[in-house]
Amino acid sequence: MRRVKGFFLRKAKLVAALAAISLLVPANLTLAQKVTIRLWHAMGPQGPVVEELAKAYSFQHPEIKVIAEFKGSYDETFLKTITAAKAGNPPHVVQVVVSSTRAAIDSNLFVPIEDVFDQYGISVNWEDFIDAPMNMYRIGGRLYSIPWNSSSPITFWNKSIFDKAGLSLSKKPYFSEVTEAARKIVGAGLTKSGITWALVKFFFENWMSNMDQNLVDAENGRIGRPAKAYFLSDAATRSYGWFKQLWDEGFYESPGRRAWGEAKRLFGAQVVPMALHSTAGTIAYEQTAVGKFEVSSSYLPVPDGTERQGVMVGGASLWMTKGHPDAEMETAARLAVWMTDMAQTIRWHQSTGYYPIKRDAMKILEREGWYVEHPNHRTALEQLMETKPSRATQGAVVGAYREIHDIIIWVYEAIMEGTSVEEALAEADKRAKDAITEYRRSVE
Amino acid sequence: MRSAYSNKVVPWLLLSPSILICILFLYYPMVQIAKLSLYKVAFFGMRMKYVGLENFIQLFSSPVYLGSILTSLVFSGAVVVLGISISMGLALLANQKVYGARLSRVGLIWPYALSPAIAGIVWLYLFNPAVGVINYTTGLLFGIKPQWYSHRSSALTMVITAATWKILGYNVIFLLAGLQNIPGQFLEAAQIDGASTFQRFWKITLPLLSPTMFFLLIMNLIQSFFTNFGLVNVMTEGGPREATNILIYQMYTSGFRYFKSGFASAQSLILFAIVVGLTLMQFKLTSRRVHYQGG
Repeated sequence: MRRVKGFFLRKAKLVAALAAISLLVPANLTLAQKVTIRLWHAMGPQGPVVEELAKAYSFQHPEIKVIAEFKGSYDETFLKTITAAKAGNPPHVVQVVVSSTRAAIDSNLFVPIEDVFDQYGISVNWEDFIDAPMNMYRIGGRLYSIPWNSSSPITFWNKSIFDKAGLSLSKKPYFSEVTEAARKIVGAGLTKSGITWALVKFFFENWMSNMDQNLVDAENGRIGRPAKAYFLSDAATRSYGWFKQLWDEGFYESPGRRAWGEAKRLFGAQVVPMALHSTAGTIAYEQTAVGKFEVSSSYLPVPDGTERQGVMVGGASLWMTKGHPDAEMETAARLAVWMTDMAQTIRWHQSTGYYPIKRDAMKILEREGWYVEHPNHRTALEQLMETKPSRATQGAVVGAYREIHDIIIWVYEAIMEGTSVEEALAEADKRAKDAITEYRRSVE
Repeated sequence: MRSAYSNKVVPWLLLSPSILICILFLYYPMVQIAKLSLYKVAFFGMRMKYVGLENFIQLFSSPVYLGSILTSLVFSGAVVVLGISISMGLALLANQKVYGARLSRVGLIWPYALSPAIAGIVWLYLFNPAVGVINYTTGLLFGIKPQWYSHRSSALTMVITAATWKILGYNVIFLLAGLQNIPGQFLEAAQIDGASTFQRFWKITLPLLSPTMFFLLIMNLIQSFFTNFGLVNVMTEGGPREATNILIYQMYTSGFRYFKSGFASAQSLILFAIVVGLTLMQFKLTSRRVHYQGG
């Protein structure tokens, strides 16, 4: 018995001694005093660049620690933000895709970023930003988020194969030119198929905007809540009509739903000489072609005889959530501004292909001659600069955007199984109406 | 039957952790879901509006949802029937005393260890129209390369194949164990009496295996309704055009893509009712046929 008692007593003394020693060792002061800002993003392939930006900011500001976390796709990131907010612990800054703008406002999770800047006296010269993204994210006169990674669709084409066929794709191609090129190249046996693009809403949206067609009513959702989508419009019919033509002639290779990566792979494997993609994939496309062929780029093709209206802004922006202490809100706001400062925006543009959202960035890079070696980065920017401001190019604001996205994909799939364009669009119109009505019922 | 415990409280104490977990993770959420299904919910409860049975009415009048029920029944039916019959054959083969039987058994059972999503990816690449092995083979043999992803019937075939393959391992383990439990004397006696292989199988092996098969039928059914979410998500995302939109995937789309929690809750209840209904039906119809040895 005495031996047991003595055993415990000795152990207790040891523990007490260790505790005393650990108190003497200086605690990790930096962790206790640092302000931690969490940034959630959906940048897969471009993730490492975001990590570098976070590290750079943390390094420049030793009292701040920025943790950038990749949370999956845009939808998954949004979803996780909602659940985190419900648990009472949302991230400070979230990257929300442009189509979720209405949903983000309705969710009540976010503070309009202009309000945050005003509250903490952070001055931002909005004139420095390119118009198009500013127009996109300004709703009812207020700026809800700060544009960060903006993109538009462009056409990547395999210059080496085009040269072999004795062809070249013009900078601003029409549908017929693309179809003709596909016909000649496939006919010459140089590739299996003509063109590919991921089955997403991106290209359809931009065909609509190029033809000055709003996606939804209520002036594209900008003056009120919309009630329907314009699937029965002439623009929609022509866009899908071209798709049907390509499919029927065997020139369209389907990578699958939302399969951006597979589309790139098909292009890289030279299964197709052309691919429609986002400018955000510029670096990725050039890398996939390294050592094999040369990549060129052109604007998004449009129907013959169309006067190009321009493209809408894709990509995402940075939003700030509610419910954080003042110090953190102010720090997060300054981080958001920093991420769009000239140096960062140029670096982001060069490492990914997303536009630099500051006007002067393009001029600076031109002066440096950077675009001479990287001509593909210019294409989307020029296409954007030539965009005429209108409701159509401002982009749609509708809560049921996710459902509409799926409906756009549905029409593609229907056409691939032989449904006529009219039938498919009629069904799409009906489904869109139902989805929008359903959404409004749940938030009004 | 006398209880092993003299104290009345101790059994309850021993059960309480399990009961607590069941309540927290099963019963309480079910009550919440039942409640949510009567509301139109936005953004996980940020906004809620009471609508009574409207969600259910909308579901049963929606062609997409009814189509999803049909798709699920076809999918599960195919997976269960194919799964059990193919694994029956595999188990019989694996039960033979041949060289390498042990190794083949490991190989047969191994797919069970994979998650449905991984099984999905494996078959997705096998079926890839441009570079998949299957199209390469059909191209060589028949000169055709079907576009597996783009047509409803082929996409459904693809998904059923992957799901069936995944479940073979599970079935084979149980069937093998069942086969090895059959006393050899029965089969020998039948052979001496002049029964053919087929008669031996049909009259002796199958009835003696019936408890195992009954169990597998139910487990396969439940699994094919629920665990194949990952597979569908990876392979076809419910498409093309709802061809592979099984109920669990439709529920995911409603709840997590469109953030319609009330709607998804209603679907969850309906799915639960369907699976319970099917299981009960199975019990009623087939339990008479099950022959339990030893009385």
